[in-house]
Formats: sequence, structure tokens, C-alpha cells
Amino acid sequence: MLYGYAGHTLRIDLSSGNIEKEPLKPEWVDEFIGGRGFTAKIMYDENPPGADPLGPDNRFVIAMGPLSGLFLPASGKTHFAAKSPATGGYGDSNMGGHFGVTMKYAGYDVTILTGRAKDPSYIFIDNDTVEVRSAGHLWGKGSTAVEEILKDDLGQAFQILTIGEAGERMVNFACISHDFGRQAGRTGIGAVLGSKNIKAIAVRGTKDIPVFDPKGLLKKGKATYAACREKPGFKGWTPEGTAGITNWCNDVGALPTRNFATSHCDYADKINGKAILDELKITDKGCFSCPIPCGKYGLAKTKMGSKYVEGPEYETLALVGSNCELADIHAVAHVNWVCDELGLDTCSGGAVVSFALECYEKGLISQEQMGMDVKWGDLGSIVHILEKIAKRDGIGNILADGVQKAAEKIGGDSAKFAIHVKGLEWTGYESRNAPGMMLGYMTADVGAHHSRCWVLGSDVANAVGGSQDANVHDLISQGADFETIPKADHKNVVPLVLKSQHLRPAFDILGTCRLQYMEIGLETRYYEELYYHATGKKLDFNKDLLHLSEKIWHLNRMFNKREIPDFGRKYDYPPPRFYEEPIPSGPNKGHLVEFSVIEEMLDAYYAARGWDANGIPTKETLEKFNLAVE
Amino acid sequence: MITITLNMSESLLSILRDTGRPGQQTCRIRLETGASVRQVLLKQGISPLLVPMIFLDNRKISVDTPLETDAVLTLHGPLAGG
Repeated sequence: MLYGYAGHTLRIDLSSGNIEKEPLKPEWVDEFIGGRGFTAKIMYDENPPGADPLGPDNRFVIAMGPLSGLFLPASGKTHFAAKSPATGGYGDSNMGGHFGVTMKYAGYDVTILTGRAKDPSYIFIDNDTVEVRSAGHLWGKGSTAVEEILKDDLGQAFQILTIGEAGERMVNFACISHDFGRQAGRTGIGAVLGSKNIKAIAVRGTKDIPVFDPKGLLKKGKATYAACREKPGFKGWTPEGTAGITNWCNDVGALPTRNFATSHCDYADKINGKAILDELKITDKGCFSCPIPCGKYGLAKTKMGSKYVEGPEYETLALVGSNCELADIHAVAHVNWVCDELGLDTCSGGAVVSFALECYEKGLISQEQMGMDVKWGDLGSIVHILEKIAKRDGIGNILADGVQKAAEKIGGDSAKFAIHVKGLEWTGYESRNAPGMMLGYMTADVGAHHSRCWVLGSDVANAVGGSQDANVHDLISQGADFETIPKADHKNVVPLVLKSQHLRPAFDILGTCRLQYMEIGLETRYYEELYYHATGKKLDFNKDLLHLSEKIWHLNRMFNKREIPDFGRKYDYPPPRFYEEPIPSGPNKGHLVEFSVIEEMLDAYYAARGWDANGIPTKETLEKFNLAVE
Repeated sequence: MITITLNMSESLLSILRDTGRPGQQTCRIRLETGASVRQVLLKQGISPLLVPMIFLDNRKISVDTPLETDAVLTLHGPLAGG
């Protein structure tokens, strides 16, 4: 008996219509445990080398972890992976909500889609009944409408995953939506589903998950909830959720503004967590079994209408808000709603719109191409660009491929302000005075994504010297001379980056949200004990799990080497804006990261990882991690 | 004098650890009545720039709020958004 797992892999070949349910491979469980471990292993082993990300051979993988679906704090994470149309390398994204949990209750730890359905379709899963059904009536509809239609047709117990128009048209930053506002947004995972002609997946599951020690798990689960409630950080996270750090990012000069031209704005108070509470919020919204619900469900009212929307989260506030100079919380929330309905990642969506606005401002995109006279901070302009992207209409067809590929076609000096790494747009932390954060973005396997590594707080501590800077905050608050945050030292950032890069996959592997550990401080022994009661196996978090995390980093690096021609060091460089243009204003005015520093950090990072000077894992490193890959 | 129960979130503690300044999840400190949160932070050797959210008995306050009575003060460090 395989405890802690549903025990099966569901394979659906959409070209042939063949559907197979097979036992979950023990070697996956033994070596890669679950979630992001499974997806890394499956993508390397099963995706045909050189497969077109938007072709039938690309795998679309859904994976849960051994703790997913058990009644433990925030055990509702679902992991998705495919070869990314944005980067051409390994791509994944995860989300909370209830979808993966229900897949596990239906009996499936892993689902692998291959091929391409002949006509627009959706996948119907009701425990052992699995069918590919026509989705002609859903095609062209927004995410919310699809969820409503399928729940009305099938029943409220079904959990729905869907793409929007952007996914149907294979926009490179199309997302997957679920639960009226949760998204797996990054790496173009929604475009891959669209390439397979799959509009949605509907699942109902009513089976038990076998666990090794049900009574022990129940007792430990209750104790874990109680431990969460007693932690000092327990009550602080929920009120504003991730939006609570908006002003902080602005104060420390890390809030991307005007397509990352600068890192500070004078209207952060209008687009922060308090603005959400005062202007938008109706209720908190949490994922499966979460004790600290960080989602905010509210009503956005603008000249373009009133819309119910979950969000905005911090990333949306930063990339749709300040990065597009949109200084009104209702307008930001409306754009959030537009992105959700169209099925666009708000991170890349905001970044691509800001890139387009700068191209327009510099005359690289004409008014005729744009279709209107677009302006920074104008809701109508931003929505106009997003709709052109989702419909691949005119200039939208170029922007739909993301800033890297768009810059290649638009030309001029646009590549210098196309803010990405490996083809994935940079998220909400301007890093010219945050060398650790910048290195984290640069070396992330999926491209510039903050969820791979987040050390901005340590960068700030490094810059201000821990406790010796009280006057810095005084000066910033008073609007005085902003050249007050000293330059952060880059010398010792590698260990911090590695630590963060190894911690984060641990929770993705187990199938839980990381916030209980990172914000509340839930000790690792809880995860070890829960894992034992669920699976019957011993797991040392700091030894076994972090070792596996590191192994996944090597494996995904080798996936990228295999899939991307001439992959290596040059794919880890940040955009030129960050090493050529000093920040023109705000607390970090004058700072940039010199290219020599970038090279120095990469040298140190590769050496610490056991990679060669071109950033490729050495034979010795691969052997050390028992990876038989080339 | 007042007694403040000072709580620190893991997001703050982890940064302090990384900078070689390990802190405690909870401690009690004695202060002059009317001392500001900023003074508390200075006394603990913590930069205000590392504390984006401050709660006084579960109510969000600013770094310049004076502390008038015995209370629970919770400091939150920065954490990545979603």
C-alpha cells in the first residue's frame, strides 16, 4: 500500500482519445516524493527532446504532493508543468484553491496530457469516469463564465480549471484559472493547455486517500493548526495579504515603476493593502484548509463597469499598478479582472503592457499600430492593449509572445528595456540595489520569477547594516534626499540565494503552501511528523528534502541545456537596463548593478552549485545527485 | 513605565538570523510610557526598514505610534507577494 498518495497516474492522449489509469510509479515516489519533484522528473524523462512547446508532443503535467488533500494547514497546492512557450525550457506554475485536492480525491496524484484534441474540448473526471467532451459552447468565453457554466451543468461539487481567450490563442503568458480568482499564472502554462484544444478540466472526487496512521495524522494535524494559531505572525498576514508589503517595497526602492525605469512612486498609498481594505474588499478568501486566508475578494468600480474580483495581490499592484503608472486601486483591480477573464498572467501582462507603453512613448510602436493614443496610467489604454494581446490582434500578436520576442520584432533599443530573464518577464521587485534578489531572478530555472528565490529583505538588511539606519527611514518618510540607502554588498549573497532556492521547492514537493513556514514560522519538525503519519516514511527536512530540492535544480538546468540551443551563462544575464541605467529617482537613486558584479556573482554561484563556468552541472555534480542525464 | 510583549514573525527573524542578529520569537521589554515603536526597534537593534507591518494588540500602527499602556506589539518582516 502506498500511503499518502491516491496511487494512480492518469494519462490522456488527446490525439487518439486513449485514456489510461496506471499505478503511480514507485520510483517517482521514492526518489522525487511529489509535486514539483514529480514534474521535474516526468518532464525530463518523458518529454521528447526538442518538442515544440505548443505542439502535440509537449507534456502537460498536473501533480500533487503526499500532503495534498489531507486536512493539514494549507495543503491545497497543485503543481503544473510543461515545456514553456515563453522560455523554451522547463516551465511550471502552481496554485492553491481546491482543484488538485479534488484530483487526488478522484484517485490521481499525477495527470499527463499529450497530443491535441481535434476540436475544442474539456476533460470530465468523476472519480473513475474520465471523458474528453466537446467544449464548443465554452470556447471564446471568459474564465468566470466557464466556471459558472460547468458548475451549473455538472454540479457545484465539481472543481473547474479553465483557460481564457488568451490560452485559446496560445499567448505566451496565458494562465490557468480556478475557483473564481486563483491562477497558475507563470511560464505560459495556459497556452500549452490551449495548444491541446483543452478549454477546461472539471473534476469531482469522493475517494479516500490512504494514510499510514490516520489517528496519529489527525492528532498531529490538529496540533499543527494549534501551533499555527499560537505563532506571533498568525494574525498579521491575513488582513491585507500579500498587498501588505506594497509601501515597504516603495520605501526600500524596489517597487517597479514605469516599466522598471525607476523603483519608487509617489502614489503607493493609493494602491496598497489599506486601499484594498478601504475601497474594494468584501471578504477574505482562502485556499483548501488554510488557516491564514490571504486572498481578498472585492468589488472594483470604474468607468468601465463594476466587477467582482479576487485580488489584487502584491505582484499585480506592482506590475499593473506602479509599473504601468496606474494609481487607482479600483482601476488596478479592474485590470486584474480583465486579465483573469482573458486568462492572462497579471505579472507578465503588466510587464508587457508597460513595455508596450514605453515602446509607444519612444515611437517604436505607432498610434496606427496601437489602434489608439495610449497613455501611462490610463485604464482604457491598458485594457485596450491587453485585449489586443488576448485576441492576437495587430501589434497584440507581437506582444503576445512576451517582451523578449516582441523586442526582436519591434527593434530599436527595445531589447534594453525588455525586462525579462530567459524570456520570462521579471516580477515585482526592482533589484538594482538588491544583488541577492537579482541573482535569484537571473538563475531561476523558469526565468525571472520571485517564487524561485526571495531574498530582498536580506538585501535591504545588507544595505542598511541591520540596525544602524534609523535615519534612513526618517529621511524617506519626510521625502528628503532619497540618495540615502547605501549600496548593498554583493559579496556574500550566494549562500542566501541557494538557501532560498532550496527551501521553496520543499513545500512544492510536499504539496503545501510555504507561508505557514516562512511567515508564521511553523517548525520543520511539523512537516516531518505529518509526512511520517501520512506515508509511514521518515523524512529529514533539512537533509533529505533540501537535498531533493537541490537535485531538482540540477535536473531542470539539464532540461534547459537539452532543450535550448546554446543554453548557458548568457541566459542568466539580466536585462541591460539594470546594468546600464542607474535608477533615476527614489531611495536607490544612482544605483545599478555593474556588469562586472553580475559576472562575479555568477562565477561564485556556479562554483557553489557545482556547475562549470558556462553554468552547466558538471559530471561530478550529476553523479553526486544520482542523475543519469546528459 | 510600561511592559510590552514583543513578538516577531518568522519573516523578520529569518532576516535577522541571516545578518547575524538572531532574535527571539517573543520577549518582554520595559519602556518609558509614551515611547514610540521606533524607539523599541532601536532598542532591539532592528532597522525600521525591515519591518513593513507593525501590529499593536492586533491593530496595524505606524512606526511612530507612541506606546501608552502595557500591550502586545507584533513586528512583521517583508515577504514575497503572490
